[in-house]
Amino acid sequence: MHVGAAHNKTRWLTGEGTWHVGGLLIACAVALPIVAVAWLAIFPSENIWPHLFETVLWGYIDNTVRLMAGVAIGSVVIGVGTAWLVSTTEFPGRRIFQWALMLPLAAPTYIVAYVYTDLLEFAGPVQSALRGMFGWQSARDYWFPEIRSVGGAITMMTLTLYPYVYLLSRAAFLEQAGVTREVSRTLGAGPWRTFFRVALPLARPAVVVGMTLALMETLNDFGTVDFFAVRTLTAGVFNVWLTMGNVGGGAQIALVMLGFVVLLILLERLERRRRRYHALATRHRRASRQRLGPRTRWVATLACLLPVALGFVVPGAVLLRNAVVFAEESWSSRFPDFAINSLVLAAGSAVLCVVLATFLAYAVRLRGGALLSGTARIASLGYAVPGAVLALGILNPFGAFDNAFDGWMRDTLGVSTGLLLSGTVAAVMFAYVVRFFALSYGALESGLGRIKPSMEMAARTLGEGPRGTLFRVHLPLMKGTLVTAALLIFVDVMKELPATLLLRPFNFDTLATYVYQFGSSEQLELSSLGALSIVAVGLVPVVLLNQTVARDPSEVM
Amino acid sequence: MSDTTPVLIFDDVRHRYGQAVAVDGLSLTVGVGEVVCLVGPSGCGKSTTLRLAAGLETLQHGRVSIGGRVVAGEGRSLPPEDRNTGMVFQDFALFPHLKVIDNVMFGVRGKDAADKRKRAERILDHVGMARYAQTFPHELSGGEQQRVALARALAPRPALMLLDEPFSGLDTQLRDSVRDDTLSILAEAGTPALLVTHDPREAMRMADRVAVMRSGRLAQVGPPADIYGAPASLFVARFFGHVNELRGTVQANSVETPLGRLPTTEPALGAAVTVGIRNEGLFLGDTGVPATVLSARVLGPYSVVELVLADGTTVTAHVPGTAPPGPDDKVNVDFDRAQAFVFEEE
Repeated sequence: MHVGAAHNKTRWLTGEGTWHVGGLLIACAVALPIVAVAWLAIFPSENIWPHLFETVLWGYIDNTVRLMAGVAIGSVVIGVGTAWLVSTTEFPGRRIFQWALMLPLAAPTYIVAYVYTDLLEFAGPVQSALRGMFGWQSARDYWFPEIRSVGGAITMMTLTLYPYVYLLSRAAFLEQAGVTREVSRTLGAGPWRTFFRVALPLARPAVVVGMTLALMETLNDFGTVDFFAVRTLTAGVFNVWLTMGNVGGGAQIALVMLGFVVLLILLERLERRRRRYHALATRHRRASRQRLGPRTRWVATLACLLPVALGFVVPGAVLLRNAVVFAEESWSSRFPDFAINSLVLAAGSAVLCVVLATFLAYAVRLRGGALLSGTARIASLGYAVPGAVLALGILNPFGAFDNAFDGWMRDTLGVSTGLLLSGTVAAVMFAYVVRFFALSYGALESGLGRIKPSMEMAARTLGEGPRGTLFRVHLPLMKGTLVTAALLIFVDVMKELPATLLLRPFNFDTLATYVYQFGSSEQLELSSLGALSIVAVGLVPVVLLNQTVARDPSEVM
Repeated sequence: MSDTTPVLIFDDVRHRYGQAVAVDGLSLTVGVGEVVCLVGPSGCGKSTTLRLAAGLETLQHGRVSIGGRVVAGEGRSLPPEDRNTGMVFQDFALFPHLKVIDNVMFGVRGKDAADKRKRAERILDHVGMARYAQTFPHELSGGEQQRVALARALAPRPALMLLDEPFSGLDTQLRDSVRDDTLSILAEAGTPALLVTHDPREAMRMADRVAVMRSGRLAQVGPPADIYGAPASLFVARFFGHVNELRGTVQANSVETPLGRLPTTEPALGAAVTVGIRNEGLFLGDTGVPATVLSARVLGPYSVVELVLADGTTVTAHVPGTAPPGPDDKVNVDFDRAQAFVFEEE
């Protein structure tokens, strides 16, 4: 007698099956946009690959590659350099810099870009001051770097994204047993040699993972490249899809972006795996910091001060000044409405993400299975998929559903339902859930992983069912994890721009889209209050991350 | 007790993980008020068997009944929460966010909170932990945690207690007293138990019946004295003590070994056999065959003496006392026929 099938039948009734099916539904829903983009690109209604190849595609790719290469180099140099200084040497201000270096993470790149354009363009205060000082009359009298260029975009992105590299490199340097560096020194290697031969190779996986995160953000960015008129792939998706009205073409460019994303994910996974072998089990005491010479210490201070000042202090100060000076105008330009929209969307998505992730992570833990965990893995790819790509993958299936449902209703009941899903707040929230699901799922997965399986076995043998076990054992044990995950998503939703722009209902604005509209039409003053609010909220994860590194550097990744 | 239906019945249970067979046609019972110890080397399938009883593992083949009710098999499989079993885990698995009293109350069913609390307090008192009711688990020692785990598992009045290596997390000095306490608590509650352990001495000490498992099958089931005194196989003999293994051939109702003749009736004439003689079944004295001492070591309660026989066979004897003969001493060695077992070659 074989009872396998019969057993399944009973489990369906007792609840674990419900979790399994529910988990599968969630995972499929979150994976839907990613699959939809691939589908649209492979089976376009009109094949424009040849046309794309002949015209714009190479330009998009060329710009994207140059942008990514620049950001990669810039963020690694700044991130690793400052991380090394802060974690192994002693210089004035080190204690402050070790957390202050993370501050630029609080400001979205597009906001920083608006501020610097405002400062550095021809009519801006910097060039005006220079002209006043040297008596130049027009742009022809002197050379000044053009901020609205690929180079400018690289600079802006480096300034705001290097903290990813910094954060992970610093954690890696702190994690390295101090003795490894001391051994290297006693074997006659100087500090430079020690850095390049011992510390950097050991930290490499962390550096690469940090870099891939920065590059995913680079790919995702729309506000900056749009404003600087840098024709990257993201700009291409907007262009081909919205301006030229070609969905298939947009999807095909999106697919090229997904190709970049896949490369980045592979690189990240590879290095994460490597990192496990590199991490030594024993955590020795930390090596004493090296005291720098009287002049070098100030060089170190300056090296750390520059990124913080340029990436956070200057933009923050400009925004603060504008917000104060133009407080009344900003407030009256419907700021409160947009702020409430943002808060509601962010809070709603955060709660939704955490609830869904809890459900899925628990379903995987209850019964697992290759199908469920495989779909869950696809679902957590959302964090790497640029917002523009995601929007395309959401709007099309939603639109198709709306049309089909509308048609069916008209045929059978004679009622037109119109657009039920597309262009609604629900579509926007769905995009947020897909994009940030990985954040909550990853947190929940590792939170559950820290709970020993014997905990739930004990609860189950004590007569508690799967749901009761979750509520009475797992959730109370994971309170901190749940709150942290919700906070991180809240902040990311507040900052999110491309998907919001593409999916929001008509005449519906959030702080991010409002800042985008005013910022990109060079009315920064009016949007400063909004931008400042986004930056202020963005400080929350910086504080959280800082506490994590201080407690246990290995938990950062 | 009048009702003699076993509380737990495994009937031809089989289980595999992928291609690896973990349990292979196991049938076993635990009677009313009985403590059965499932013992075997790691990977023999004993933990899987226990988890199948608890419902933590999905039954693939066979049938499991608890308290006269089929809980798995025959087209049904109850989840762990509906099986009315209590379980004590190797790591105790106390809920870290709950106080001791709340841990114990966790599984107590009923509407009235005061009743539930009373039940929990009574059982905590029973295991001698009443004064720790308001403590959190991490503040307790290993032995105390074990008592709370036992109290928590007993609180819902389970029909059957399942214990998975419940003492291996404790230090050796504590283990013996906690074992005895556990037995008396189970006996007072009248709860039968299936206990899994890898430690043969623990099984002998705790069990009414010992079930020895090997590669997913039961090698032997019986009271501790039978398992030790009449092992069914060389494996069982080895598992419960040190054994000298000597080869021989059956000749006319006896086996000739380098240590002398051993009467036997079972294997056919001419069969190749292994004779296992427990180390403590050898003794030095006036009778037996001559041997030379290779080495001797005093272990306290007894001494270990290694001997070489005339034909070059080496044997080990556990002899009482702390004054064993020295190396190169000539002695005579004989053996207790009751501690010598004949096994057909496997």
